[in-house]
Amino acid sequence: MSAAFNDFLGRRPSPEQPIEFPHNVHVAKKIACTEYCHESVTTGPVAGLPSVRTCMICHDAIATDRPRIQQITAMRAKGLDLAWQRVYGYPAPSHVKFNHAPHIRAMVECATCHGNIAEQTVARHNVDLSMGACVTCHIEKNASIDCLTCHF
Amino acid sequence: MDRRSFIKLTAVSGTSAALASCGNLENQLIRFVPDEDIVPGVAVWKPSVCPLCPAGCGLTVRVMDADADVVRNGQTGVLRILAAKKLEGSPAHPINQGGICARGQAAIQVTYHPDRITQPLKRAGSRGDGRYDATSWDDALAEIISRLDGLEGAGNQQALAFVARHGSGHRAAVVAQFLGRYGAPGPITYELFGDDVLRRANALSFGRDQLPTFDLPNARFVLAFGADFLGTWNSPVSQNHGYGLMRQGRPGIRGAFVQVESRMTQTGANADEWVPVRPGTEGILALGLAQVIISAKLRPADAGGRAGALIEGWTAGLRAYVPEQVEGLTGVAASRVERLAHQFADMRPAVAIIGGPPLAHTNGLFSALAVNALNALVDSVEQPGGLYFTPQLNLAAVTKQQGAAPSTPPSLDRFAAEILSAGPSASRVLFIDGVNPVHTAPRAWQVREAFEKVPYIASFGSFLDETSILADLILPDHTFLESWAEAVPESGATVAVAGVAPPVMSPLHQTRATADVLLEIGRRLKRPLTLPWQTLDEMLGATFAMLPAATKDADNWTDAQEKGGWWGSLPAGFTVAASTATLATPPIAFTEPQFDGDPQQYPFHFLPYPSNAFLDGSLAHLPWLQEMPDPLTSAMWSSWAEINPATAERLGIEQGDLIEIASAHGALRTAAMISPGIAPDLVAMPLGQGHQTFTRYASGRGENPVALLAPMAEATTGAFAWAATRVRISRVGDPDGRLIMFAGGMREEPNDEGR
Repeated sequence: MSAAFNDFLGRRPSPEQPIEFPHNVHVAKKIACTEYCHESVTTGPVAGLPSVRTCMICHDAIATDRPRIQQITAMRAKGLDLAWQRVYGYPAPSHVKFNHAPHIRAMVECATCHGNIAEQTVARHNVDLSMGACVTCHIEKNASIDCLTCHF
Repeated sequence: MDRRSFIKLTAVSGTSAALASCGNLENQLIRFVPDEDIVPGVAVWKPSVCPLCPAGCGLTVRVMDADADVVRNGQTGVLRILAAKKLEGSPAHPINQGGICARGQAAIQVTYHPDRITQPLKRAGSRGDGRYDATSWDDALAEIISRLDGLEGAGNQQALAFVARHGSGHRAAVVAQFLGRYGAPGPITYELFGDDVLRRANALSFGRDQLPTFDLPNARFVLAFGADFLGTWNSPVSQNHGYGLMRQGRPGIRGAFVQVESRMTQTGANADEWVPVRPGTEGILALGLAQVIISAKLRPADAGGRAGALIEGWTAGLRAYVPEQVEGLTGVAASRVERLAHQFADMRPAVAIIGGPPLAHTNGLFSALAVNALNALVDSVEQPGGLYFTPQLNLAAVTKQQGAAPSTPPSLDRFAAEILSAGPSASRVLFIDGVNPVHTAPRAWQVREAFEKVPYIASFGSFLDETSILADLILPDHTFLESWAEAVPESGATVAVAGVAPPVMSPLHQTRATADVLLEIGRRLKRPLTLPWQTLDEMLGATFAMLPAATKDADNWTDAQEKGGWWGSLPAGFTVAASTATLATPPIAFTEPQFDGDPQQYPFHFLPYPSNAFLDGSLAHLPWLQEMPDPLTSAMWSSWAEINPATAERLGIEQGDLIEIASAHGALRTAAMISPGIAPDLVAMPLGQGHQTFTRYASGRGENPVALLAPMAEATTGAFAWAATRVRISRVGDPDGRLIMFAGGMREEPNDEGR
């Protein structure tokens, strides 16, 4: 009942990722987020989510003794991919279009919406991404608040 | 509580049960590692070629990431793929110039159709009951190869038959080469609404065995005889484009357009003037105009040249076709004949177009030759504003094909008769390639009965239809988006065109491209066929590399794949030259059209016509087209018969009433559609519905008018005369909801009786 209620109001539950990906470890090792794993986030509307193949570029050799790495190595061997969930993941008929690329160009930190990933494992809801949250930030940053900026 | 919260709360409590299952279902699905690198959320446009009719329009396809349900190693899961999402016309293509028809828009549904055959199937039940077992490609190919080796061992290669649509492209060339090298006759082609009569007429009149292309943008007067050139006939998108320019593309000049026909088509509805004539007398009207033009000395008779010489009495001034005589035969007033003739000769460039029903009578060739002569008389052949012939790429010359061409196959009716009489040469193995003659050939040809007697049938189609359900083995083809697409259009442009495009997306299912399957079979036979190509794209590459390039260092093959084809002028060696030999045929004169059925017992002419949505019924499986309202009646998802209001009143028939239409060959019941655009002695029905087996959307829906048709043939060419049947009609009941109109009441799910 509460899930249905939240779904109706557009409140999405926190995503449950297939593995608890340690962002903090990768960020500490200075792996560039937008060049390897989330490519297309700087050019397109949607952040790319890495397939298991991308993980294996490094993890064929690195940290092969860790259980999580062995888990994904086994998946790759079976031809299976990681079913990553989008952090907010609004359904298509939400009548609102979000495009990552201009936000990255405007130097909005990933942490603004996804939490400080240098200190956490998987990305989480950092704000209640309602229209109010978007508009407040747009006003603060002097970005357009024309309806058609997002609703088109 | 404010109003908004109240509505939200009530909605939530009411729908909570349904929504309770919503959540992160995606989590529970198995995901496979994608085969390609995909940028999410960004669309790319790739070229393709529309396969739904022979016009060969160029497409651009919007391709984006999508999740597809697939089966891998027996496990069901989700795979991220690059998927085709939308089809548009290719702006640079010389045929459709950015346009696309409704049928082309709906072609996207072929690939994602829920009833597509997804893997090779082997018959499990008795023939025709539709029970199949899944099989592997290895087993399926081994079975076909052993059948063909068996025929060869018995020295009976002639007993392999291949039934296909009329085709002129590379894929058809692969089929012809396969059959020729194996020693089988060429493919048997059958189209209900084929244009063989017009091709023959053009070969006789102009030395061109092909359909014409009209320079509508430069025409000032267009006179069409039955040709639905804006709807379904010839190259409709190209003709629509030209028609728009003829009407509105030249400041100050608006081209005039007169349509001559006995049932108003979508094209006729656009005309300035609509001239109803008696069925089968269109050629007389054309010669009536020619007679007035010659006798009024608007044009000299010898301008008719070779085309005129084919008409009996042409040089003597066509005295048999004076307007009064024409009025008696056609029902068009003499004064109107005179006026149209003066318009036709004065408002030049003028062009006459003939196609469709006038050519489907027993005297169709005469009508076509008469219109050809009329065009020649006003100097409209290969002239601006007149008719042209698209230069044809001579594939045999370009690809340097060697080896024997296959022998000429029998026509479909002869083929069926041969099997039924079980002669020694009767077919032992039959290949069916995307054609459904059981549905579209007249019942008297007994195609179904004949096919049932063939010991072994393999089908390459993507869907189970009335013909492919007889197959012992089904080897499903890719759709055009999943394989190399190509077309060598016969008409629609004044330059030579060869369309080609690489696969737009990777195959969704375990299907294989038929041309590649044939090439593989050819390699694996006991006596390999040594075809010069391993795959279809190898052949395409060889052709396109031979074509003249735009610049010296341009790579033609790469360019063609990027823009969806090659177009331009061809060097002399690569075209099919016009034949200049004058044929020793005696001049042709009007003969009364023959109709099947006694006029007393069967007082109405019966006209089946290609449906705007389904053409000959081959597209009835696409739900978008089922949902598309017919442009003149607004009917959808159903069948109907058009009747003149005066006739309907006389017979006590009202809109939607259930009527029975009967010919000497069959009867059917359908809904009456009262239409003023039809002659009082004519009943017309669209083709397309009445499938017994053709996916969930078309099966058991409406009626098939082919069931009424008599096996009449055009007298000279032997082509099927599909407009030469007489019928009677009677009212048998009240409207029963089977007729569905766009502007009608609520539509319901089919009831228990399947209506």
